[in-house]
Amino acid sequence: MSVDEALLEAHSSNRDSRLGISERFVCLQAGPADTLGVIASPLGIPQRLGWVICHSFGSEQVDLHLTDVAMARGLARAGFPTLRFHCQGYGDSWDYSVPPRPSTQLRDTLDVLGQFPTLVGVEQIGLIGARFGGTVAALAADRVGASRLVLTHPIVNGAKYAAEVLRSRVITDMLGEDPNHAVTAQQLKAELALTGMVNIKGWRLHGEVFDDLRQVDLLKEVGRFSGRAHVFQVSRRQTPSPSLVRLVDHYRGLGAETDLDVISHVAAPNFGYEHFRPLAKDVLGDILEGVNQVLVERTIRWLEPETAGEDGA
Amino acid sequence: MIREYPVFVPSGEERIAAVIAVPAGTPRGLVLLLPGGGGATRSQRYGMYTKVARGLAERGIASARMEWRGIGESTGLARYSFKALPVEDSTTVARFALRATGATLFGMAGNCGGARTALTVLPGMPEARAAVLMMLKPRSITRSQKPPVKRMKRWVKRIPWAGTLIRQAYWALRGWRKGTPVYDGLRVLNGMSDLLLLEAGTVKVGKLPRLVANLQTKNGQHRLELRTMPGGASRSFQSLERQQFVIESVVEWFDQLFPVMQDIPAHERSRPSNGQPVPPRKTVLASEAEPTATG
Repeated sequence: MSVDEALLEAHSSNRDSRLGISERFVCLQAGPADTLGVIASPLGIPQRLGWVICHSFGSEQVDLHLTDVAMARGLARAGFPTLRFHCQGYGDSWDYSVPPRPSTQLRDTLDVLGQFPTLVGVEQIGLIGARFGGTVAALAADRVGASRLVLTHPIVNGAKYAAEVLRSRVITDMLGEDPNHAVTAQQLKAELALTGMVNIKGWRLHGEVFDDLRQVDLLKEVGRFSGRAHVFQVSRRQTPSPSLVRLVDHYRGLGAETDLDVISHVAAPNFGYEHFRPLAKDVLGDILEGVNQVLVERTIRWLEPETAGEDGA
Repeated sequence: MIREYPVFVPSGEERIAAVIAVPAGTPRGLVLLLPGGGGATRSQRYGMYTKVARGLAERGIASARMEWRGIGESTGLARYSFKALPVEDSTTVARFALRATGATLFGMAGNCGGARTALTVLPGMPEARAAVLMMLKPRSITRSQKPPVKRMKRWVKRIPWAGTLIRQAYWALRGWRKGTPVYDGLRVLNGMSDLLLLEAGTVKVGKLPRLVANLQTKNGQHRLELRTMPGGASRSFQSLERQQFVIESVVEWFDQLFPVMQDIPAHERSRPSNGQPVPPRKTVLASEAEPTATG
């Protein structure tokens, strides 16, 4: 065999003194197969609280991955070991045979949560996610008794989200090459009923997955979490969204110490959607960099009481 | 067994993340997979490059799927420009992957900015034998975000028939000049490597079909093909038919052009994708190793 495994393994991790972190790839078991994860760790002594980041659904997994990466690196720099990984059907996972759905993402997350404490040696676990990733994080936190939760503009009601997913295809068509023949949401629903699948910007949305999405309701499914939670709203407006207010009230009703934090930003409508736009002549850049930076800064500030209580960070 | 090794490859002050997929036995060659601009990770959207990598590995071909700086696990600032393509990073990852896998033949597949990068990288790689260039779109430039321009575009698109004619006239008037660097790159590469061009049927293809036809008449040594992808004018890989077409075309192209090595087990050679058993597979890494200073 001619593969230089020593060379490859020597490069499976990276120590970055500029970022103040190290990162290493890890092989994880998630559901029926292996998948890939990355653990970001502080260069100093780590905190006893570690974080697992849950990614979003469908095309949003790619469109929000830089938010997940920024959060992982920011938390690691602040002393918290943080894991990000791919559920089955995404990225470098090994099982593409079954279309991912809320239940498979929750299953994979619970599997990974079982492996995480041993991988990094932490005593407490927090979960983070953006948009539908926040929904998965909330559902997983409820089941494993996580102590901390950061939800970035989570999807509270799956039915509304499923409708938004269909609408995103309609909008893409309207902005595309042939707006006169843009599909309507009604036509997409009819196609789902007839063929069992629709194309959402290149993502195969199957009828049963659509139905699964519609069933998700955090207000009904979350019933045990009693740790500390921080909910971000990312929007242009500064007034809190009624659905997020209801979610925060729901958590408070469970005994969880919960805050709602509104991040108002001009690029907020792109959160969860394509976000590379011209920043200068002939140069495309990420217009959500500012949002991600604020998310990290405010999360770290929210965690300050915890870091103050530790020696190592 | 197909194995995948995730790595951070030092390139300048940054680390480029890549996954190197290795087939059983000695690889017939190595293919570098590079996404275009727009934020896609090493797997591309919908896991397309992951599927390509595994399809190649089933045929005895190694691959490295990599990211642009600032994307995915790669460090640095995420910026895309046709005037600052990741040529150095791609060459560095290619050299690393060739050394790590022991492959002696090299190929590259990329879309949009990734395809334009390949035009510059491949002439500097003596091991290069073949490439797949997707959506090279010679006339494509960074879209203007100026509100008046965007309003005008929306207005033109909404005029049935006439809108299409106006857009065709606009792109014709832009002329040959905008596509010249791409055309020049193709002329150079055509003399060195077998090339498969996959284009969508849009006006941004420009005079590429005419140039390809012209080059084919003068080229007796290397294969040069231009195929129109299904999916009409749909963007990028948003057409499901296009995704499948691309995955199959890329795997088939390199399978045809990289010679079969004698020491590859017979059952691993040129495996048709007709439902035959897939060999065991695994992600491999030093999970217990301490973080290593790679630079």
